[in-house]
Amino acid sequence: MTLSAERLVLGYRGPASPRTIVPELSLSLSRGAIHCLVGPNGCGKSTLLKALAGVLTPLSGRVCLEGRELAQWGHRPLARRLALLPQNPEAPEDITVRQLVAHGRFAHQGLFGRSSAADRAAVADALALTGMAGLQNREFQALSGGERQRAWVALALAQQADYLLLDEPTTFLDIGHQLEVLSLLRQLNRDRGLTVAMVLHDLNQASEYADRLLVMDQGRLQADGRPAEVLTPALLRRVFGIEAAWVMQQHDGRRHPQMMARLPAQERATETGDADVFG
Amino acid sequence: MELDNRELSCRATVLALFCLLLAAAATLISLAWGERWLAPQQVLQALRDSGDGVDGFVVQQLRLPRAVTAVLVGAALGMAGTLVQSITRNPLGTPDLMGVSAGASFAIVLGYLVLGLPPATLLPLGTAGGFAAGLLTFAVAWQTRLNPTYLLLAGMSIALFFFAAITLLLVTADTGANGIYYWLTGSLMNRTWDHVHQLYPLVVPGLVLGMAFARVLDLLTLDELTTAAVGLPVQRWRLVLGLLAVVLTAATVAVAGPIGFVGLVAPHLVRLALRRSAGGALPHRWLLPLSALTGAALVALADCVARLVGVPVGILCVLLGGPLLVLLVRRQGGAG
Amino acid sequence: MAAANAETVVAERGGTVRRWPALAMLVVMLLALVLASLRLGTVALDWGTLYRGMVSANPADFPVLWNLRLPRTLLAVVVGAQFALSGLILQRVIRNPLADPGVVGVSGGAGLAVVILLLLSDLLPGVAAGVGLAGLPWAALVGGLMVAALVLALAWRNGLAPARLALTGIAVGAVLNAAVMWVVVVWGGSRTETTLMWLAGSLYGRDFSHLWLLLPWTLAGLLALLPALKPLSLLRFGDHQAQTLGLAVQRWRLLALAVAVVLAASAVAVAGPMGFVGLIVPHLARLLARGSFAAQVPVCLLLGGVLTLAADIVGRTLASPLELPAGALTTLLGIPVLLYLLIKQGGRS
Repeated sequence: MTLSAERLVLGYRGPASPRTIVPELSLSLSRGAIHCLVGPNGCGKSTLLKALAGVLTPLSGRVCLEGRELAQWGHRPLARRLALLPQNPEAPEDITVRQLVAHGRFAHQGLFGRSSAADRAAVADALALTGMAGLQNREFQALSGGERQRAWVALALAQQADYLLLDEPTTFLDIGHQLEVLSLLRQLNRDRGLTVAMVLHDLNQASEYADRLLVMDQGRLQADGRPAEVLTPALLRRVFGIEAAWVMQQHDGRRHPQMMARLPAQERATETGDADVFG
Repeated sequence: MELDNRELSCRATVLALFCLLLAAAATLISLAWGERWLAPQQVLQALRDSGDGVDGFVVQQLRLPRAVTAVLVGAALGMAGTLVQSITRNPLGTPDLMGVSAGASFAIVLGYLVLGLPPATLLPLGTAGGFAAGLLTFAVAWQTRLNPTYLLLAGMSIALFFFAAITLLLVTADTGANGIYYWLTGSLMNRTWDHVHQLYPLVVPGLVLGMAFARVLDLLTLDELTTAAVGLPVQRWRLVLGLLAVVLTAATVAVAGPIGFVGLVAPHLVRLALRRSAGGALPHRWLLPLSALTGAALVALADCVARLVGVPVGILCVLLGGPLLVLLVRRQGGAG
Repeated sequence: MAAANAETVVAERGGTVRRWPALAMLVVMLLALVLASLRLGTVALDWGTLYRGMVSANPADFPVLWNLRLPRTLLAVVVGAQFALSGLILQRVIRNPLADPGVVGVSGGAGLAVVILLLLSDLLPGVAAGVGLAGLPWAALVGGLMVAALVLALAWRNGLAPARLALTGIAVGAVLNAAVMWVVVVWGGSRTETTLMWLAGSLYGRDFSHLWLLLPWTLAGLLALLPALKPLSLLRFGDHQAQTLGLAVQRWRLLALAVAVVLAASAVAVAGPMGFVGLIVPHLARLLARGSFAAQVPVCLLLGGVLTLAADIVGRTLASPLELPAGALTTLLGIPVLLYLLIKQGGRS
């Protein structure tokens, strides 16, 4: 009983014929795991994520949470279980961080509800977890890119949903803040049992943080499993068009797989030197 | 949001009291002033008497309904303006841009000038015409999931269409164009209790409903996906709140002519007045009632002045509100 | 590298190719309308008369054609094109799809100036003899330019922020329109219809003198726009982006606004505030032919001419001998098309 998609067909309705982006896809998230969705640009990752979150109606097929179709959950009950951080969210002028994060409590309050002690605690918790407590009274528009992204993560956390879907949560962040967000998600996953599904671009980070890695290309799932098993040189060549290999690196007392990649040989015929890595 | 900013509460209350005072003063002057000049005690006396005396008749039957109409119209337009600006996320949104004023005006001009209907039928006809035009706007934009830009474009197009149709009717009409033109400038002259009875069953519930949905309006100012993700069906609420604005506006246009400028100005005045103390976005919990009050004060004041100088109230609203808006926009300066 | 170049070329050519059918269609429509406009009216001219009149060495023999139809037809095309271009520029510069020549105060200023002049000539017959109706376009031009300058001055504060400009323009425009209505209501009386007719925008009784008054402004506007085409395309990316691309944002914005104002004010001066053309046509153009700003300019010019001329023809033939104002008819004709395109395009978004 988890979040699952059955024979999902996704796309956007045009005036004449719909533009299909995901032809047919079935998928079931693992409860309590971190899922990373990777794939080349335009492969349908974000579209799939939106459908899983229930903000995009499938052309056919269905998405179910605990066996019940998302549309039958009702908007607010669903938002209490499932939070989505979209790719380019927009905030209104003048809004403060705290006001923004408090919007995440809507599903718990209802149309007319005032905020309760539980709401305030959840907002404070979300702000503290993301390290935004000190900035809570600042205007959102005055924040740096990294701070903005953390504020959006805080909004999603304030929903206190047990499924967290994030579309490229590390964009606009420097490497330190990227790792902070990813570690935060892992911490929430380990401590609170959150099920996380996110679109990531960095394959190293995806393989580091994912319990389960889903590789998409042209709207289809090309591979699904543990990162080490999934990201084979053959798959990376087929999906991303790169020549890649994994090397084990010693760091911090542990051995980490590290991907080395380059474009296929004919594009770089004049350059040599790192052939031993791929050999 | 849940942190009730104390400075904001104070200044908002002061603003509310100021608006109330302004509206009350304007109403009192409206009741006292006229062919027959009454002192304040005489006004109060006249309000209490049975209405048989001359003073009683003048105040209760002639002046009071006009003053009440002004307040109701202003409050409705202030509220409607806020609703439209918030659901379209466009500071230039006004109730006019839903096509309502134009539709209502067209229905009334058609009924009066072409069909020659009796005045009593014009009021409901105007409301119905305004509502129909508003529905048309939403129908055109429905396919885009009520995308704000499309909604405004559709509304503006429909408004322009009906205003052009009115122009044609006026230009081709043999007689009566001047009278109806006067109505088209927005006027509260000779409004009776009939008008009030027409107005309040739509306006009062509309105001209450609008304020009840303050939380929803706060959320609608976020982008569409985020709003949906936190649990609000965006399209449905844009429709519900948009139609609420349509009803409020249609009711006022039928009674007072198109004076939609109030709807544009009132929310801006409130936002600009409280900008420094809000410490963030002004929550609709404050913005909605204050816009309604500001609208009411604006129209009451404008009507009061209108009676003194003999200019239609719609024109005066613009002459008062326009410069105020320019001034505030200039003072706000730094932003943008 | 070669592959990338080929791709760009294909993309560019693709963009142009899609635009040509629309342009060709508009040119054909415009020519057909011009012919129809020359023929139709209270006195219909047959093809033979039309041909003889056009090639005749002595225009005085064909007064209907040369004194009425031809100048009016040309004016409709030029005025429509000017309004459309002005609207296109304003919507781009203010970055708001609701912008039209009314937003910078042009229509309001011109309207008030004309109404005041009419009022004065009524009160002071001596002035009427001196200035007369010939003075109307000049009054409108001066009024429009002055108010536009006022709006720009009021909105200027270390530059022109689009939102501030739009709000200021709408406020000033509304105040002026209210003033116009006030004057009409208080003093209009039996002349309400005449004034309304002018305010609705009409080409009734226009002759070559109006065209000569208009053309210098048309040429000046178009010439000033040429160097601004590229910068205007860049303005779409937002101020900061445009600035880093090397654009002096405020300077170009001001120039573009000045061009829009001149085009609109001179058009208002001869035809009355047909501002709706400026609102509708850029949207129609965008829906018909996508592309850069420069690509939309010709579409807009042609479409503005087509719409206004069509409205003028309908206006003087539909209820003949009664004249219907072309300004109102452009709206009645243009809006259904716009709504249709909106619905059609809406399904795609």
